[in-house]
Amino acid sequence: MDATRFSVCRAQIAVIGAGHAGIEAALAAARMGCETLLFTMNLDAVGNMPCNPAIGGTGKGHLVYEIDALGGEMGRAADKVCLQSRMLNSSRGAAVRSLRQQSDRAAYRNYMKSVLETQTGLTLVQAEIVAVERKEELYTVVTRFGAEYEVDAVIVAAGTYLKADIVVGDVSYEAGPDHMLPANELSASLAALGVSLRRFKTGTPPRIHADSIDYQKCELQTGDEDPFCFSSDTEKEEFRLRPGYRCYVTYTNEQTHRIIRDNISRSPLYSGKIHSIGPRYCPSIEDKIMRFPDKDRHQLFLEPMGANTKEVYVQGLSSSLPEDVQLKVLHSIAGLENARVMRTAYAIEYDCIDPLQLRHTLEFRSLPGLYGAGQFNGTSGYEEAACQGLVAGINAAAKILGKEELILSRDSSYIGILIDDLVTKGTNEPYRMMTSRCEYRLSLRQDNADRRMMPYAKRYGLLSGKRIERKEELFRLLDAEVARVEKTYLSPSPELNALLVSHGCAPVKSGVSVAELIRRPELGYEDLKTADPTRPKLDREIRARVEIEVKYAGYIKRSLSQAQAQKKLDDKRLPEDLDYESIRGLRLEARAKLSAQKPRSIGEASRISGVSPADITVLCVYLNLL
Amino acid sequence: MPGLEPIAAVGTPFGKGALCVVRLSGEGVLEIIERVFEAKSGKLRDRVATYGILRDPVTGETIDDGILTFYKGPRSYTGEDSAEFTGHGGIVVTHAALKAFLDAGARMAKPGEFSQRAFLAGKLSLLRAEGIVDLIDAKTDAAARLARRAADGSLERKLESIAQTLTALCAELCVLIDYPDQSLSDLDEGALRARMNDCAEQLDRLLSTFSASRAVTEGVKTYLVGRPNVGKSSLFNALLGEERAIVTEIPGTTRDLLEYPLCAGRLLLRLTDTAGLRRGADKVEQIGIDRVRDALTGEEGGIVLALFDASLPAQAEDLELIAFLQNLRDHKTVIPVLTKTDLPERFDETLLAGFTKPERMSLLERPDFSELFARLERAYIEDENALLRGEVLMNLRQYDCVRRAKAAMDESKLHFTEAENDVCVTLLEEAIGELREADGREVGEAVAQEIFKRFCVGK
Repeated sequence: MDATRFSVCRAQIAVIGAGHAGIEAALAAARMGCETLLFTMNLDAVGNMPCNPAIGGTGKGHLVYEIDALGGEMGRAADKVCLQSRMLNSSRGAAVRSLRQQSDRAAYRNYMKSVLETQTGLTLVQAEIVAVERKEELYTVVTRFGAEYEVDAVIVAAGTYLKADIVVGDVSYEAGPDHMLPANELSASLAALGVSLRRFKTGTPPRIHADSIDYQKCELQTGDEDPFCFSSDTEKEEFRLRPGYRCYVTYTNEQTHRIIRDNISRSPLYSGKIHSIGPRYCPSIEDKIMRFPDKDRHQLFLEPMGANTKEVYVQGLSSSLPEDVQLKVLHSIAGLENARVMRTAYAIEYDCIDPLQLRHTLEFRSLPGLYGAGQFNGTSGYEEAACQGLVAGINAAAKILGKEELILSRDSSYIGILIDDLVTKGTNEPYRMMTSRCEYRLSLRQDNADRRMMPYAKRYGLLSGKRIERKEELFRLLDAEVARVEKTYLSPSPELNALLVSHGCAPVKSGVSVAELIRRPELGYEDLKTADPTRPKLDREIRARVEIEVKYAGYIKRSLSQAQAQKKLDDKRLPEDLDYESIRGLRLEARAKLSAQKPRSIGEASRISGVSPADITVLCVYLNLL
Repeated sequence: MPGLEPIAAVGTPFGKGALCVVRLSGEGVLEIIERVFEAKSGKLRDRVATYGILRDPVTGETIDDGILTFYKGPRSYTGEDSAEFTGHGGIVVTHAALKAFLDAGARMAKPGEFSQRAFLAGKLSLLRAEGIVDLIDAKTDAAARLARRAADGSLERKLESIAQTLTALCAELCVLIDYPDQSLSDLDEGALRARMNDCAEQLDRLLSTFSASRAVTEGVKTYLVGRPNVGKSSLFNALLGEERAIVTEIPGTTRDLLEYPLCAGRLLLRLTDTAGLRRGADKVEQIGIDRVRDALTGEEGGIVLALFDASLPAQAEDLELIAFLQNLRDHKTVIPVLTKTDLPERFDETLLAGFTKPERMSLLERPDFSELFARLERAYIEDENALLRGEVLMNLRQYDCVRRAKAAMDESKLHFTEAENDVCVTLLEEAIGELREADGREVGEAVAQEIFKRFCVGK
């Protein structure tokens, strides 16, 4: 029965959902000075991690660094509740180093709830939003109890709650993640506004009791001895001294695979019970066995869920098989023979949108003032959600405050790539950030996220003046040292050559700059300390960054020469009245983008995302500009 | 869609022939047809050949009878409404037919405009469109065959197949970066390196085809040098002799040297008249070096036929020429030619030891050039099979794409170490982008797709 409607208040921004996207959206909007409401269906699940108890990972680590550099909360929160910190790919080149931290899930929720509760201008409310209505320029959000809130902008960050169904074997029922109540009514209300929805699927593995695991049979995985943190605000010395928690690795085996194959008909994925699209990069164990029959084992990670709980997350064993099969599967695995399940693995289906409906600001093209963020936009992962929340929150507030909108280009950040991929290419499965999606990976690194994001952070005032000052001093020292090593020449002394040879690298015959030596693969900044007497005293972070900047300088030069080629294209003008729709050699997407943006030159056209070099050739041929 | 203005052109060569074809394309083609063509074998329908009468739209006079086929866009070569009229050949009739269509509202097509429209309509890739333009411009049979293959998409398929191999390679490296914790593939570094080298070699082979395709399509500058009376004029005349009928003079683009095209097997030689050789017998011939020295030393590539009189001992000028040629060998194909071999030989051949085996010929008899032509072909067409398959770079744009791809690959190979995985992968992606003419977004997506297809990854 519909509740009696009543008006509660007028605010500026309403955020629906207090998961990783909603939190960042609401905090950014409130911190920029907008009166902000944040609705959650359950105050005990604010910032919940219904899947991995971890923040970061490949590509995702970059996102967290960028969030922190823009003034978001995720990095600080993760550092606060970190159980183990590992820099992934530390052996593979600075550009793809990615930080991953195991997190205390309950502590993370508590931290975030407290941050939200104490934020000026932010009101945190437990309520299910059942409708979003639009009246002229304003929106009204309506709770299940009939409470109405009138706002200028709404950010939908409903995660996987919309019409969510949990599926385990042949059992399925309406439930959100962690078996919480689903949001069954909001979908229809959004559809009535003209938002088109579709269904995605994801899943999570079982949690088992730590004391039921035979760790002797598993491989130990510890964190870094000298761990990194995400946030520039984290007190590094205190962070380093914290005890690290342990993870373990075990493997499936032929027996595990046989059990799964024998019972595959009972999997809802294979019986046809689940129709929606799941992510390929995060397949269930039954998917892995069926799609890769040649692999004789699959790796599993045992990760602690928190400091004060015995729950252990079994990464790699996501499944929607019936519970009895799940038990057999678990017990077939080395170390888990007597595992006691605390939470059963499940698949979850939910409504989300096709992100092609969004602009780069994450505002719906056809519904000004309505924004989408997070898994609702068709992504997967806490970090992907958080960065979208931050961008949507900033943009909603910027629009209200009359500030410039935030559009991050692909060459600015992983966030820019993620959003550009979403809104120009779309996605047909939950989208996960990967370094392989990032063509600018050599310049978009974790280490320089602060610098890349600084202009935006300043524009929206999301960093403290003190932090900005500290960073600018750091950039100054960094630049000075990079300049010094470039112009400091060392003579080919016997001492220098002995040093070079001792690092397995060729001696020099004539004078050589310190920078040239740093660029040699065998050498690093620290290795040259004794040979470089004019070196100033700098802290560890700056020293590491000097090395990276110098080593990657060649690639930055390369992009500069590309920029010059670009300049030539800028001189080729495009007629204003050009009818792009009539040039059928242009791909559909390019035609739409060009018609909408009406670039003034070929160069400008080439920078529009969605316009490929092939399209540019078509344009040049069309205009006889080749 | 607002169409482009209608164009018309004769599709068959002008001149005597049994048939001529006039092509039309663009908006309003049907109206133009109605103005000049009266269907006799039933109503004009899409993609059905219809017999009828072609009339002058102004006077109504009958010009010709023939077959007209109308193609409704987008199911046509250009993607537009188009038509082909097949009538009777001959210069007068062909001209009149074309004029009728022009008078009825069509504009004379510019060279390559039909293919350009097809490209703009998304009907042809750039590579194929270029192939068709090259086909139209082909000056020799071999050049036409090459262009035909390009129009078939042979080069496109070759580039795509290399790009696919590189994408798979990239995926294997990227998956290690994106899923560092998972024991995914038993990465065989040696095998990866071998595949990388293989791709680099394929690119190298493609690059080397460029000189062959240029030699076939554009021709190779060919110089005859030697001291006076060695037989330059005779050889020049003998080479061009019978060909003269089909040869036209091309004013040299550089300096005032004249060039004469000559089919030498599959090569097109652009025979250069050095030092005014052709100006008449009364003028004293010069050694030729002075006049062409700049041309010979300045330009890359080309053929030099260096003539020596076999019947006399080497003269001072011969020795001077030999010394000069030593410096040219790196960037030119230098072939010594011993003339007057009908006389007793007194020339010391060991002087030519540094060069390839000399050609011997007597210009009294009609010389057989087949051996010489075969040698020149071998010098330019290194990979016979590539030429047959059409896996050949035809123009500077294509050459440049592949050159940039190769450069990125070479650099990527230098960084094939674990510590530089990031650089290696980025450069590989750059190479893929060049080969596919795609931007980073598309390449990244292709690599991600490949990872999902090939590897079992995830939580």
